[in-house]
This record gives sequence, structure tokens and C-alpha cells, in this order.
Amino acid sequence: MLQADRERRMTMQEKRQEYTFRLRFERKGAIVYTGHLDLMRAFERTLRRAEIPVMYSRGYNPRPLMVFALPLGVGIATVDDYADVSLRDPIDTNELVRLFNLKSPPGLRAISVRDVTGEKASIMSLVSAASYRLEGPGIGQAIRNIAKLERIPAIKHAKGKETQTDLRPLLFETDTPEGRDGPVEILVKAGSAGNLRPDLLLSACVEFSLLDQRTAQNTEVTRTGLFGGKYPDLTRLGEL
Amino acid sequence: MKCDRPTGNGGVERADLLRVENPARYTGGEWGGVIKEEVLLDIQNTGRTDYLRFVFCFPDIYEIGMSNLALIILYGLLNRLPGVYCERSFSPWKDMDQILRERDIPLFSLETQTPLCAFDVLGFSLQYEMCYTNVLQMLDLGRVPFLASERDESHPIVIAGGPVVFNSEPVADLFDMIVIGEAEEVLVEITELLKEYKHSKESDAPLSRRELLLSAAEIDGVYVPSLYRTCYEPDGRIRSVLPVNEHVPEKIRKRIIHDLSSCFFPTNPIVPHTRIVHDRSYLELFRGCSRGCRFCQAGFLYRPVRERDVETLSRQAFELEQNTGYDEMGLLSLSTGDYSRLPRLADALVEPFRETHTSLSLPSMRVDSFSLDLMERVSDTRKSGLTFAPEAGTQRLRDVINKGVTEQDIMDALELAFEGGWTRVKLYFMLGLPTETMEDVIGIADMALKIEKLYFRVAARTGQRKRRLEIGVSTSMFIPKPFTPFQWEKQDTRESLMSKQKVLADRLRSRNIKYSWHDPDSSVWETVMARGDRRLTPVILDGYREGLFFDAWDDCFSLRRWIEILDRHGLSVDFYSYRERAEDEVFPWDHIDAGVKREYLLRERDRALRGLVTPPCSPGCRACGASEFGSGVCHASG
Repeated sequence: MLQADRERRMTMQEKRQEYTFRLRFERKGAIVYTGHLDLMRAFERTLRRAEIPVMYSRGYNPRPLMVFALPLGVGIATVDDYADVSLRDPIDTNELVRLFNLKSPPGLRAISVRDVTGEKASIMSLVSAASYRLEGPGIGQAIRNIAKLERIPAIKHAKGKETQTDLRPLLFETDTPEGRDGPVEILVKAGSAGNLRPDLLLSACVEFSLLDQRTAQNTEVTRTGLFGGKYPDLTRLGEL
Repeated sequence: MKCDRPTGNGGVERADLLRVENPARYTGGEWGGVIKEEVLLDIQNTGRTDYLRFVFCFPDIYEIGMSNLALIILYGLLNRLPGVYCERSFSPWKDMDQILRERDIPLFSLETQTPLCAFDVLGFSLQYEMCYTNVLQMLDLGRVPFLASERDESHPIVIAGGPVVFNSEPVADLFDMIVIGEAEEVLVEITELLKEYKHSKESDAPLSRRELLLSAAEIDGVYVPSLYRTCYEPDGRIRSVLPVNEHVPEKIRKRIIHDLSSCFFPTNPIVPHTRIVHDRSYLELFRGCSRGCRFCQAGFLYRPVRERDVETLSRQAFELEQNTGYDEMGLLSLSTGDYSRLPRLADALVEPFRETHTSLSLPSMRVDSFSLDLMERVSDTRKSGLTFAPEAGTQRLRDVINKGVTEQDIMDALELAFEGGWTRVKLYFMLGLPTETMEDVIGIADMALKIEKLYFRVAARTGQRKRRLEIGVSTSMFIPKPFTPFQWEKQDTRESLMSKQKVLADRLRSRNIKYSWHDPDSSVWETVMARGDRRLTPVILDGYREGLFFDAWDDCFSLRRWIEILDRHGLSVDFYSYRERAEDEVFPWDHIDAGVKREYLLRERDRALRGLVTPPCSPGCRACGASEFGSGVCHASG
């Protein structure tokens, strides 16, 4: 069980009323170069500055109750991401957006808010796929070529261990909506049951000599959507 | 040295940022950062601006610099001045340093990614002596010539301030001007003069750099190093430090803020994206300290004690909490327990902060029943460790250093703390204090062991032993700093300090006690820098050119290499550190007036050697000289 869920359960057990709001947000610009923990802190401080009545966990070290749909890596922008925030009091959704954006750091912006109070499923468990836009010279050709392979072996670093994985089954679709030399859209598996990080795919392009290292690292990566359901029957998280 | 003025991202690309540790150090864009669009528009349209462009340079990494109160205050202050735009730049860590060199990108500001050389003014904050090589790194990468004498009207003006400027002779030649003391007022005066200088460049009668510096030297608290000459005796001691002409003051007196309550203090500081060393907002209770611990330079430099009133502080506290969103606030001063209205301030803050889950941190508190109770009330989180600084292991030596605390005080406080459930204690000591003997060293171990026994006695009595006892004993090295009664003393040698450390390590082998010590190597060099003169400038330049910087970081620092360079220049650690000074010896810092009188320091030195303590300022003035400023505790009524 995740820490946030455990804290939520503790809170629920004390029969305290809580209201959950799902914030759809974007991040771009300088704040893209922060990790997931830093982004969570930025959220927390924004909510505090905006004096939004956030619910805190119980115990020795009370934290605001927030759950993010899918962590964002360092260097990755997003135009369609979600976080659930628990509040002590209900609030008008438009007002929540307005207050958040008044106090959020440059580049971090709430797009819309939905009241999801009482919905059982954790937002993290809903995520099954994500789409990303990759922009940079030669990226279209590289991704098209790598998608033709039957296997895309890659080395995954997790918990101090290196493991061999195959990225190919995690890569659902690729598309170049603006023509062959324009940006690439990829649709990939995401969430706890399997997750393709776009930087791993870019590294694989380097391994197969489809891109040079610097071009790969300079490729702009933007998350463009989060989806629930089972591929190919996917629904945008915002519509679930 | 070329200075292009690229716009946009300064040349650093995504691939570079992904290669370095913590890229958020270099990207800016934080909440509270100041972007003056009008300046950017000016530059876009005409290639120049009438604004005075100032870059606050902190010669260490972002996480340390952003925790510095001076940066927070002066950034806010300068950006409120009409016609001034202040940005920030920090030492890039070695990974980014290498990228900037490889890719030929000048060091830039965080706000607008402007290369340092394109600014009108570089303002360095010198917080510790070990940062000097990083000043060189920033100038080098920022494409600004190192020495003031190498710069002309086309280069930025380079100024410095901060606690080490009371003796900044080893780097004095790098700076056009040095601000002595508290900068809030004098910096405004300097920017006025610099604006005049900048605007004159567009006129028929442009001011020369020399004219600018002569005018600057007339401002109280501004030290223009190029207007002073140091003469040496044949044996290497200083004969005199004298101004070059009669218009330049013989002594530069430090500036202070007389009324802190009406002085500017920013309540909307920058909130970094990334975790910094002190990740909280700060409330500054007062400046100065009247205790007079004889080893403590800050205690003498910041006299007299001046308090902010409690109404101002509580207003600032609530503004800070609301504007920053931080969930922790530090009450800052040299000795927080000495703030005369601490109970009232605590009463005003504790309840509202509990509501909003904001905790207060109370560094520099003496531990007693009041402070334990307060700590219990102010912190949302579980009991943190308690910190004591007895500094010396025996009462005799504590009297020598005028540390007004007895073993009984500490034991009484700890008994209360252990009864209250605290189980983590940190004890800070210094090794190598004047008159120290092995008995004093062993006294440190004895105190720690007594505390351990006390804990088990209390635990047996109260029956509570939930968590493990952790006693941390930490020793640092005494450094005879300028403007203290010990400025005439010599430093203990590295070998002697290491043998003392070993004695302690052997005696502190209990599983409940953890002994840690500060590396004596860096203390040796810090002393040379703290007491040094202008002959050290070429040493520092050589060291930097040979790749020595980030000296404040133990794994980057090499005493052996520094001593080799020192040797090459015919100088020695013996001369600077291991030599007791005669009472009439001229110090490299004698042209700086920190407000405390030499006679007072000599008097205190004499009392120290006789083991006599001197009580704090109130009640009763000790005639240190600070009353001449005409404000603060010296002139408080009642």
C-alpha cells in the first residue's frame, strides 16, 4: 500500500469528512527541470499560499494529502497531467483553479478541476497508458525505425540493479501528425503494471545508432495525455 | 576575453541540464524571482538599458547561497530601487563548470541568463574564507578579469560584502569596492553613485573608473582597496596600511542599521523549486550578541545588539508564511533565547501556526525549562535533537573563553529534557583553545559520559526508555579570528589537534555516543585566509589556476597542495597561524574599524588569561566601543 493511501485510510478511519478534487495541470519552462518530489513540494507550497484548505495526514509528520497520477521525470514537460488533492472543506472548482494559478510558480498551471469526492479508485491505479510528444532533429526517422524492430532491448536501472527489458511491447503506437520531419507522438504503456519512460526509448535509439547521444538528450519531451482502460480501448483520464 | 551577450537560454541546452546533478540550480524561474520585463524590452529594442544591472554573486552552490539571509534581503532591497535590476548567480558545481568550459558558455545569471561580464555590477557575498577560489571561478567563467587593476571602463564594477570582509586582504585586490558592515543603507548609496557613473558614460563627460572609486571612498563604510598601500617590515610583518592620499579616510568604519524595525526586510522571498540547505523562511529577531564569548567573531562584529520589535516581527511572520507557503520558519539571531520579547513573540505565533501546520525552528537557543516547553509547543513533528555548545570540557577553560555556561546548567537542562522524553543530544566543542591542556580535552569526554549516566538515572526513575539514547559529540578547531580578544593568539598545530582528537576518540567508545570531528586541514587553511594579507592574492590565483576551488568542500580541498603553493611564494603557515602576535603588531585589518576598540579586546584578552569571566552588556556596559554607534542595547532606556 502506498504511503499516501495508508494515510488516507487512517484519516478515513477517524471519520473525518474529506473532499477530493482532481486537478488537471500543465508544466513547462524552467520548472520542467525538477524531479517528482520537488514538483510535489511546489504543489504543496502553491496550495498553502493560495490558502486552499488542504487536508493533512495524521501522525508525527503531517503531510498534505495529494496523489499524483504518474510521476514526471526531470526534463519532461506536460500539458495533461493530474493530481488528486484532499480538502477539509468543499470549494468551487473554478475558484480552485483561479486561486491555484494566482499562486503557482511560473510554468506550473492548473487547467481545470473536477470534484471526485467519494470515488473509490486511486488515481494512480487508473493510469494504463500515456502519450508523449518528442521534438527534435531526426527524431521522426529514429522512432519510425525503432518501432519496426521486433524487440527493443534496454537496460533498466531500478533499486540499484540493472535488468534487461524489452521496450517493444510497451510501445503501442507512433505517429507523425505534422509530417515526416515534424514531432513524433508516441502512445506507451504507463502505470504500475508496466511503464515506458520516454528517455529509455531515446537511449535505445542511441544504442541502435539511430540518434546521437546529444540529439537524443536535446529532444524535447512533453507528456500530452494520460489514459485509463485497456489498450486499444483507452479513455483520457480527464473523461473517466 | 570576449563578452558576447546572447539572449535566451545562455547557451546551456537540455542535454547539458540532464547531465548535471540537480539541474534546478541553473534554471531560475522560481516563485518570487524578479523578472523586469522593461529591462529585457529595452535591451531587445536598443541593445542597452538605463537600468543599473546588478548581479548578486554567491561563490558556492545554489542550495547554500539560497539559504543565505543576506542574499534574500539584498535581492529584495535592490529590486525595489527605481532603475535597478538585481539578478543572481552561483558557483556552478564541477559538472556544470566543466560543461561551461567545454562548450565555451559564459557563466550567466539565473533570471535572464545574461553573462556576468554584461552586468554593470557584480556583488559578491563573502560568507566564509574558504570561498575565495570560487570567487575566482565565477569571475573566470563570467569573463571578468580577476584583478581590479586589470579592469577598465568597459568592465563591470566588482564589489563584495559579508562577514569576512572585516579582513578580506587576501582577496582585496579583486574588488573595486568592499562594503564593511550591514549593507541595507550603504548599498543604496553605492547604487546611486554607480547609476551616475553608468549614465555619465553616455554623456560628454564620462566619469573615469578612478573618479568613481575616489567618490566611493567618501561613502561611510566603503573600502576601496586600490586606494590603500600595505608596507612590510624586512621580517615579513606589516609596517603599515595607509591610504594613498589625504582625501581617502585612514580607517573605514563599519556601517550598521540603527533601527531594525523600520529597516527593509523582504516578506516575499524567492521560494526555490529544489530542496536547499535551509528550506524554510526566516524571521530575523535581532542583530548582535552581548554575551562576549571570546572566540566568537560574530559576537564582536555585529555589536551593538539591536532588536526588532515584536509587532514588526509578528506581522512579518504572517506575511512570510502566506507569501512563501513554507511549512517551517526559522527564528534567526546569534542567540535566540536572548531576544527580550521571545515569550510574547512565541505566544503570537504558536497557535496560528499550529492551525496551518507551520513549525517554528529555534536554532541558537539555550536549553532551559522555557525553551523546552516552547520547543514542545512549536513543532508539529516529533522531538528533534537538542543542541548544546559548551565549547570547552572544563569550567576553567569555559571561563577563559567566557562561555557563560556551567556544567550544572547543562546537567539541569538535560535532566529536564530527558524527563520530557528527549533522547537525542548534540554537544559542540572546540579543540585548540588558548591555554588548553590535555585535562581540558579529557573533560570533553568526561562530560559526555556523565550525560550518558544521567540519562540512565532519569530513565530508571521515570521508567521511560522508549527510544535509544544518542549523544553526538562534535569538535571543531579553534581559529584565532580578527576582532576577537584572541586575535593575538596562535593556532594549535595540526599535529597537536590530531593527537587530541585521537584521545577523545579513544575515550568515547560507548555505543550511545558518536564522536565526529571537523577536518583539521581545512581549519589550518581557514586560519591563514582569515589572518592573511595581500601577499596571499597571488597564492590564491595560483591555486585556482592549478584547479583548486570549492575549498569549502572537504573532498575538493587539499592542504598539501596549498602549502606547496604557499612555499613557492616564500610564505608559510608558521608565519600566519602558528605565531603569537606582540600586542603592538600591526594587523592586516587595522585600517578597518569594526566598532570594538583594541584596548577593550586587549583587556578581555588579559581577563581571559587570568580566567576571569565578563558578564554580558546588560546590566552594565563593558565599554567595548560599540556605544559610539548611538543605538541598540547601549542606549536602551531602563
